[in-house]
Amino acid sequence: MPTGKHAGQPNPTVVEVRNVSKRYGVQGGKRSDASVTQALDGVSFAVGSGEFVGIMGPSGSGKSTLLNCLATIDAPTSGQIVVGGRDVTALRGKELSAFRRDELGFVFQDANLLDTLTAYENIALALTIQKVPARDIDARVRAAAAQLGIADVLGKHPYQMSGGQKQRVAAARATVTNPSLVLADEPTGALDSKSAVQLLESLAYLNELGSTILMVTHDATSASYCGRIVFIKDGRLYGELRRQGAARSVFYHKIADVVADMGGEGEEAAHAC
Amino acid sequence: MLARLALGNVRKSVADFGIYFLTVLLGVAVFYAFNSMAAQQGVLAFSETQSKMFDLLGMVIGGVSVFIAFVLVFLVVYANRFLVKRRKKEFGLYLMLGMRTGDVVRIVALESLVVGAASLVVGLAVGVGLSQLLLYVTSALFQADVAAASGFAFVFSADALAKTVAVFAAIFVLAALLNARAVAKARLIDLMHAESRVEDMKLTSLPLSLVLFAVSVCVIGVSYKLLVDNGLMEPSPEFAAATVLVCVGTVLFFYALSGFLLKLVQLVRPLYLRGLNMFTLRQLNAKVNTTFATLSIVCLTLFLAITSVCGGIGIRNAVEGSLEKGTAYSASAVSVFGSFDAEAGYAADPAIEPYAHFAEEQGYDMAAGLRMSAETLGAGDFDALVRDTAQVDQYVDVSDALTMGDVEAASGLSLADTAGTSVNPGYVRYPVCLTKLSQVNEALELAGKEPLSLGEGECAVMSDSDITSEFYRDMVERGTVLPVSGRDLRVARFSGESLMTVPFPLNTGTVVVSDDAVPDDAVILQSTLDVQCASDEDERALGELLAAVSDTNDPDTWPLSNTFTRAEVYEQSLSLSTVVAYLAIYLGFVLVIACAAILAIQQLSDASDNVRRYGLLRKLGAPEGMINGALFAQVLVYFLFPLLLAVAHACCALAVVTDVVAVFGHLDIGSMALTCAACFLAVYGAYFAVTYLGARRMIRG
Repeated sequence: MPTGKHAGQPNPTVVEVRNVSKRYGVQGGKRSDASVTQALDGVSFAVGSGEFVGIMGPSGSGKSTLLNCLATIDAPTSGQIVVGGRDVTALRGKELSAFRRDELGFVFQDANLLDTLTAYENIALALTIQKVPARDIDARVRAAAAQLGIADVLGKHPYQMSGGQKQRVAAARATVTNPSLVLADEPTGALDSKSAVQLLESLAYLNELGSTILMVTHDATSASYCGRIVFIKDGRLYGELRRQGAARSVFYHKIADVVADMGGEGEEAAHAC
Repeated sequence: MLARLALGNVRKSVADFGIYFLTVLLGVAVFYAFNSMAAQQGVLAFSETQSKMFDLLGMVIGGVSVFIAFVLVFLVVYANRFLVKRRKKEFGLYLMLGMRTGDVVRIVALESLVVGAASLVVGLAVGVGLSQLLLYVTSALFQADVAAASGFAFVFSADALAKTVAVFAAIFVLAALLNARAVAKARLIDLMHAESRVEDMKLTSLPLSLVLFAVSVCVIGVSYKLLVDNGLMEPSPEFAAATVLVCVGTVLFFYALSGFLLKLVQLVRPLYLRGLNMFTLRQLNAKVNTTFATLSIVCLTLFLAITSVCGGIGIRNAVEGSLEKGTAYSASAVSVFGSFDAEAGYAADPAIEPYAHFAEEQGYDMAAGLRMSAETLGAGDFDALVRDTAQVDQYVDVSDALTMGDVEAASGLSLADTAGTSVNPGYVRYPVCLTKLSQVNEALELAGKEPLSLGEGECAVMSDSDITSEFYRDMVERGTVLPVSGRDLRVARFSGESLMTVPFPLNTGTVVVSDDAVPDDAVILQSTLDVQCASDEDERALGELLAAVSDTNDPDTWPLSNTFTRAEVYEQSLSLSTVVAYLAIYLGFVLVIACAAILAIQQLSDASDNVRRYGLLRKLGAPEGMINGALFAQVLVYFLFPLLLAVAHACCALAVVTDVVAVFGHLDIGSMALTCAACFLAVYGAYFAVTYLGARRMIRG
């Protein structure tokens, strides 16, 4: 089973993280080391178009910081993050919101749908913010909903939907704009195992259709749906694991081994799995 | 330590305290300014009547201020509750860190004190400025000059200051106690989780909203029609029905409004699917269950405020307008000898009866009678005070009286059509008196006005009342012929002139005929003597002379029913109506502040509850301008729609009030009311601006 339609080919790079560091508690760089937290320390990696990449690491490893930097919600202290050929660390104000709007799609741990809007409207909102003409919106929303199997809940409000349905609506919202990159932050964190599997299969399917997905998770099962896993520990790159066509169960065991390795060396290991 | 925390908190949440500060400030300013009005007497050159009126104004404002104080208590407590609710988590944190409840209560009290004291001081400063402004308004309204030679005087009232400080100190103490109770009673778990409370998402059905909206518009329309058709001269079941319907309609309107807007915009797909429009509309709709009651109350209160202010000022302007017409003579003395009714016939006035023989002995010559009476009473020399006089008698031919019913029959017109609801229903039985052309022309000449001329077979109609003048004008246009004591006389012209000095128009219609058309056996119902004096001193002295004749019990004096001097008319009517106008402004102002503050606080609470939603929009890449636009639209809907509906209600009510005010003269809402409306709008707008800016700061997280 291929992990993506471009698997095995040299893909154009969508995301390039170059030597990114993030320090908290630094003001003018003159504080003593004791008061500085090094959340990221010279992290570099790249994501090619059409990849489904997982980022794993124990709590406090810096994976959330990395995701926030990629999402342009936070900015790195040094280094560059290039998405779609643009250095996002140099973006300011309106360029930032335009970048988030046009290049990124988000799936959060809790679906983060607007409870006042129907599923249809939640998905359409991503398009109306982009000022897509109204006549194009309907077809695109319905197509996205069909891909994720939520066509029958479009008229419902979030409080009338199950957690899994909400999360798939969020996934539809994230992909309906055809962003360069979909960022998913522990998307299965709040789901029961059945819904989680459904969502992961949906994400894998979207990936097959061409979406580039970057998913942060600490759960090996979730990670096993990815094509490649980037491990982070203590703010540094710990290693990388490629699926390379392996069966999901095989890949799962490989991931679990790495997680165990990683945990063996650190005190935070208990939280990792 | 606690003080530092409290001060820091206030500085940190200036935005939250903004509305509280503004409300207390305006409340203090208005409360002081109006309560300090009594002090204006010290610096304005008032006459005795004006002074009395001003005492009355002071008393009434004192009374109304009790009510106003209650409104302010409610507002301050309401604003305070919002502040405490906003900061529950913060208080929870203090408690969790081991601070005692007493300490937290003390912090909250200290904060209230700091903000209260600051707004009290600033409010008093603004209030002193406002009272200075009111001084000039009074000076213009009462036509009284500032006594000081420079034309400038500083007015300050220690009493009002003490009263304001006392009232607001009491309000602050009450608010602090309530806050303390709220904090002391709250459980830690509730304080910590105050933010994560799940909102009750009860959505109304959209088609139902459409129907309800249509129903509400119909109900309001029906109430308007009821009001316009029936007026408000007398309390009637229709008036009660209109009042109930307008309230019901307003509540329904706001209950269905957001659903209606949503459905309407949804029909226009490109509009609905543009930017954050659907988010904004859904936001409005989601809040309908909690906001429609507030919006309805705000709308009805604004309606009251607008109507009372425009009506109050309108009455004053109407009075001032009719004064011009009604003060052509230095003085007028009126003797009403009797009344006539088509069914009951002539009835002599019992109050006049004992003196009637004297009038008869004088041949009904008022000037002669008054001269003699003054001599008898030693009340002064009538001739020395008077430059010239003219007497106008109103006759009724008892055997063949012309009644309003006859006039209607002859003209084929109905007075009720043009006069609206402000005429007494039994009017058809009332007589239309005859006056002699020679007397009328003498009186007109005395006032320096053009005399009337009548051809053979012609008569004229005179009326200074706006209620009936249109009816008579139509009659002239139709060439109506009136049966006057056996002769047919064509109504050739109409004159709106007033033949006496009166506070408000009294003559609803007399027919002017050539002297020989008045039958010899006609009875005088009423005589009026118009007098011109050479100077204001003479006028005052004449006023005293007439009062003496009027007050005496000596049967050998001329019977007087009413006397008016020009100065009295000016003072009485202007002063009284000014008191009304002032009260209307005072009440209206406080009500507008109350409405705006309630709306503002509700919107700010909403915004703080919605921080998460706006944050999500930002993550989805909605630019700041788009998010601010959505917020602006929401706040605008909440401020604008109650105002618009209130203005619509007020327009309808004022149209009806115009009929009522027509009794005093033509209603002129005028520049004064517009100025007031502009002031109110400015206050309302200021609240809108503060609310929007505060909400914007909140949703930035």
